[in-house]
Amino acid sequence: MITARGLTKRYGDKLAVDELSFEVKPGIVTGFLGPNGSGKSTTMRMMVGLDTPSAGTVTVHGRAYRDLPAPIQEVGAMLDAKAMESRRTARQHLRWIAQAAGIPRQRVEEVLDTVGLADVANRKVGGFSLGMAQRLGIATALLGDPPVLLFDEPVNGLDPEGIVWVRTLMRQLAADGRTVFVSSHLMSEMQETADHVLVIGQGRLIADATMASFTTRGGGDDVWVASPDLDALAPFLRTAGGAIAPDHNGGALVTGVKAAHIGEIAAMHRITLHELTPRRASLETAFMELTRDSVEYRAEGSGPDGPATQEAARILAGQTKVKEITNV
Amino acid sequence: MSSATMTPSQTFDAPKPTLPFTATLASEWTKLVTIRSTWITLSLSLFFSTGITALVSWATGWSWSDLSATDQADFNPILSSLAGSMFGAILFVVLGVNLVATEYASGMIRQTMTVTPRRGRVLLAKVLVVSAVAMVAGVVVNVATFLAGQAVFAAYDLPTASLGDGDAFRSVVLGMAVTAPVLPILGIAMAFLFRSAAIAITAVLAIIFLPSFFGPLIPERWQEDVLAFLPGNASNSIATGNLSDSAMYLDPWLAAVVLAVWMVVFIGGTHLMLNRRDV
Repeated sequence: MITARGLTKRYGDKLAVDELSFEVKPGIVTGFLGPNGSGKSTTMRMMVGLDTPSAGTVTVHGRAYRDLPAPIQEVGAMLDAKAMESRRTARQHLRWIAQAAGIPRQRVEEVLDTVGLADVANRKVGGFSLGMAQRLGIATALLGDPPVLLFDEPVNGLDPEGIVWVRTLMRQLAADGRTVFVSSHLMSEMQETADHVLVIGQGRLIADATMASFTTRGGGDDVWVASPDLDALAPFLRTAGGAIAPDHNGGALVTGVKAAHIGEIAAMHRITLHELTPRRASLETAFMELTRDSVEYRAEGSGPDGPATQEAARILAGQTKVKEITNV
Repeated sequence: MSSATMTPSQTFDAPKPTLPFTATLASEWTKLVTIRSTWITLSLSLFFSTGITALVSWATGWSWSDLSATDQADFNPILSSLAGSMFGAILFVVLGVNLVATEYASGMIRQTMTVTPRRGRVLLAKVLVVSAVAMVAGVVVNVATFLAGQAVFAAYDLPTASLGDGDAFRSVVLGMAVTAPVLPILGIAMAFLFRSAAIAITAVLAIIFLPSFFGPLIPERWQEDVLAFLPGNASNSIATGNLSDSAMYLDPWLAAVVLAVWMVVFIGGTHLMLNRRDV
């Protein structure tokens, strides 16, 4: 359990984190979402005592991190995967941390095995790819077998197989009964992993909800329809209560009618469909709506469809197609 | 790759044992001996200290017959054999600076302060391991330097000293043991303050040497009242103050107290700063 109460961080005139209050509960994966520069990393740094809050508190099991008797056996954190000395080997890196935390050496071999780095344990970390460094960072977080885990952008630099692995690991850790707090700007990734989401923009909490209710807010029943005879289909869909946003690629995004129903309507009227895809990636939509006012670097005078917002959408959406999102 | 090594569904309420200070000490020791620059520094210290002494001693022996009778009578085989000693000791600054600055350069300091969030512990552990290494290495290098000098003097039939002499033992062994940690501790403090090896080394050298550059230019009374109490001169008062005459030298016991106060000021100041600043 992590508890933040009025958590605030000010750097000079700039308010990086603005009176955050939330609870991160055990047994589930809690996603921490926000655009770049929204205060996610600063919040996580305050959780492990690296930064001191300007006001408010953040505690783990009711205690400030600095007051924990055995810190990394209580909270495992992967904040900056590249924060290691390049000349040390992976094994040496984990060993000094184990030594400093009073953790037996055997545990180093266990976590190397868990993250799949056992074969490269004697290689210098300077030669590691970002993905390997991420795995070593995750190993560091797991070293103390802690009940609370923090991961700042854990899938950065991982290949698809690694992403699936991280996702499985997070779910497993939560299933163990641990508190798992994962930050990301990749909406799609969170949708696969998190049970609960905290969303921040410009340091302020703008959503604290279950994943299910959060995605519903974004209009979770969009269906992508492609048809050579879209003009004929459209009136029937409107009659069924659907809203249609056509796309110049010959398709349309249909809201308010379920995919199965669209298929039935098309069959009934003998209209050919080339594509009928329920869009689950509506987290982006919800996110864009929520953070529209809090994207920090928006260009002067640009509206929700301005270039800066589109750029933000591109960053936030990660691998998803930007065009579709901005056309919603 | 499986999570079989994770302990499933355990109770997380079991109290964890409090992390002992020895754990922090052990990890800082590991870091110090696994930084390559530590070994380079120690080797260079031995090389320069003995090498410079050997050269200076050889020059003294070679030009002995040209010296006046007074100069010959003033010849002190202990002090003369320690000509290279200062060059060796200066390098120890690097021990302290690098144990801190490399962590800031790589970002590893954040890992260090996450594992041990009580920053005073990290500072104290670094001070202790660096002091221990500086103390032992300083004495070893100084004894080697002293013996090198005596060997050259003996070869030229000059007066020599032995480590059994009270003065020699005090300067070569005791004096070095007490003063060797001073520069590396200043190095740790400056590296935490500036977070950069280059600036930290410059700062330590400025603290130590600027007073001795300007010292001779100011009235002797100020030398006695002010300069003598600065860390560099207090160190010299302990190490070689018994061997030469200068208004800038203090009584060794007083100098030891002065030096201890300086160390408390630098370590305490660094501690306060560490607790106030974000990592």
